Amino acid sequence: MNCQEAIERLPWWLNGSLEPAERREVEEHLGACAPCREALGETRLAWEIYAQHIPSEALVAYAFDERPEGIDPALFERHLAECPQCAAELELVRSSRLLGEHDEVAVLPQRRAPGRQSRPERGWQAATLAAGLTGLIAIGGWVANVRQVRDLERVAAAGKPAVQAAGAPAVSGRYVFFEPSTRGVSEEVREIHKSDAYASLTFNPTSRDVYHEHAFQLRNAAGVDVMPESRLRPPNDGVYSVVLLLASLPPGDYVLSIFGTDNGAHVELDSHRFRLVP
Amino acid sequence: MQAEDADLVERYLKGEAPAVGTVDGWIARAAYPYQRRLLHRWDDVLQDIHLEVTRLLMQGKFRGESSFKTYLWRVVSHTCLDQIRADSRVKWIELDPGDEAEEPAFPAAAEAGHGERSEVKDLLLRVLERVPAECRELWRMIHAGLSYREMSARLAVAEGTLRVRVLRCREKAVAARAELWPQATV
Repeated sequence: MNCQEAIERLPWWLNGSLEPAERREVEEHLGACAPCREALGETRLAWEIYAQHIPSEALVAYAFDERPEGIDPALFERHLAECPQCAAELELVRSSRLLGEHDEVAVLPQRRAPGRQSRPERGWQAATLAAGLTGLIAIGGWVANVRQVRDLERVAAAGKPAVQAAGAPAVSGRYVFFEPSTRGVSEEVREIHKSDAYASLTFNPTSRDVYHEHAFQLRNAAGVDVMPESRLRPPNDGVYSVVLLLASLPPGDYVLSIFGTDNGAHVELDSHRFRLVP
Repeated sequence: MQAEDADLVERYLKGEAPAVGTVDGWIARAAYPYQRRLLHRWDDVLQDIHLEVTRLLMQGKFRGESSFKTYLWRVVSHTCLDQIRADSRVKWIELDPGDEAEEPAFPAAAEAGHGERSEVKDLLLRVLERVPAECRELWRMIHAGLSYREMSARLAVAEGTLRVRVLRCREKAVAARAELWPQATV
C-alpha cells in the first residue's frame, strides 16, 4: 500500500470500518511512514472539527428561552438549521421541558425486553429518527389532554390536524382521531397508516358515563397488552386524549380501550379497533 | 432563592424521604424523553444524573436564579444529552495505545475555563461553518461508523472518488481552522 492509498483510508481506519486485511495494510504502512503518521494527526484534527456541535448547556438554555452564553446567536441558529443532531436534541429538551410545565400529562413506563441489550444508536441515524415530531414523543405513547396535544404540535411547528367530523374515521396526515362511539364498544376496524404520526382517541367522560376515574389500555389482536393498563389523569378541560406514537408499533390489529375504574370497578366504556398498515 | 426551594434542597441533601421522593420524581419525569435513546443502560444513566444533581447541590451551584424544579430540569437535560452524545460517538482506533502520545486535538479547549471554553466552541463552530455542507455530510457518515463501501453505495459515487472527496474535505477543515485560529498548534 502506498502513501496515497493509506492516507485516503485514514478516516475509515479511525472509525474502525476497514476490512481486517485493509486495516492491517494501513497499520503496517503507518508503522513505517512518518509523513503518513503526520497525516493521521491531521485526519484526527479534521475528525474533531467535523464532530463539533452546539454545547449541551447552550441547547438547554435555548430550549428554556435563554440566550446561550459564549456563542454568537446567529451562529447558533445557522448551525441548528443545518445540523439534524442538534435539532433533534433540542426537541428532546423541549419535550422534557413540556413535561415539567404540564403536570397533568401522564407518562407511560418504557417496556424493555428482558436481557436485551440494544446497540447504541449512531448519532446521525438517531438524529433522523428523533427529528421533528417524533422527538416530542420519543417513546411508546403518552397521555395528554387535547390542549396539550395542540401545544406539542405548535412547538414542533407541525401542521394542524384536519378538522374531524364526529364518528368519522380520519386520516389527516398527522393525527388519526377516534371520536367516541355512540355505541360505546366499537367492533369496526379502522385502517391507519404508519406514515400518520399519531393516533389520538378523544374522550369526554362527563357526557357519557358516571365514572370519575378512568384507565387506558392498548392490546394487540391476540389480546396481549402492548401498553399495560394505566390510569388516566383528569384533564383540565374535561376532555381526555390518548395519543399513540404509531412509529413505535409494529403493523397489526390493535384495540384501544378506556375503562371506568371507580371503587374497584373495571368497566369498558369506549373501545376502538384499528389496523396499523405499513 | 425561594425559602421553599432552599428547604427542599436542604432536606434532599439530608436524605429525608419525602424530599428525596419529590426530587426523584422530578428527575424521572425530566429524563423521560431521553429514555428511548439510553434504554440499554438506563439505570446507569439515572444514577449518573443523581450523582450530578447531588454534586451540584453540595457545591452550592444552585443559587436560586430559577426555581429549583427548573434548575433540576436543566441539569437532567444536559446530563442526558451528554450521555447520548457519548454513546453515539464512535471511538477512533488508536495506532498503539502505549506508543504515540495522543494529545487532544484542541488542548486549548480542554484546559480553558468555562468562559474560554465557550469562546473556543464558538470558534470551532465557525470553523465548521467554513467547510462546504457536502463535507459535513460526508463526515457525519464517517462519525456514524459507515465504511467507505457503504458510503459509496449510498451516495452512488465510486469508492475512489469518495475517498478523494473526503480527503479534500479533511484538507479544507484543517485549512479553515488554520485561518480562523492561527495561534493553535496541531
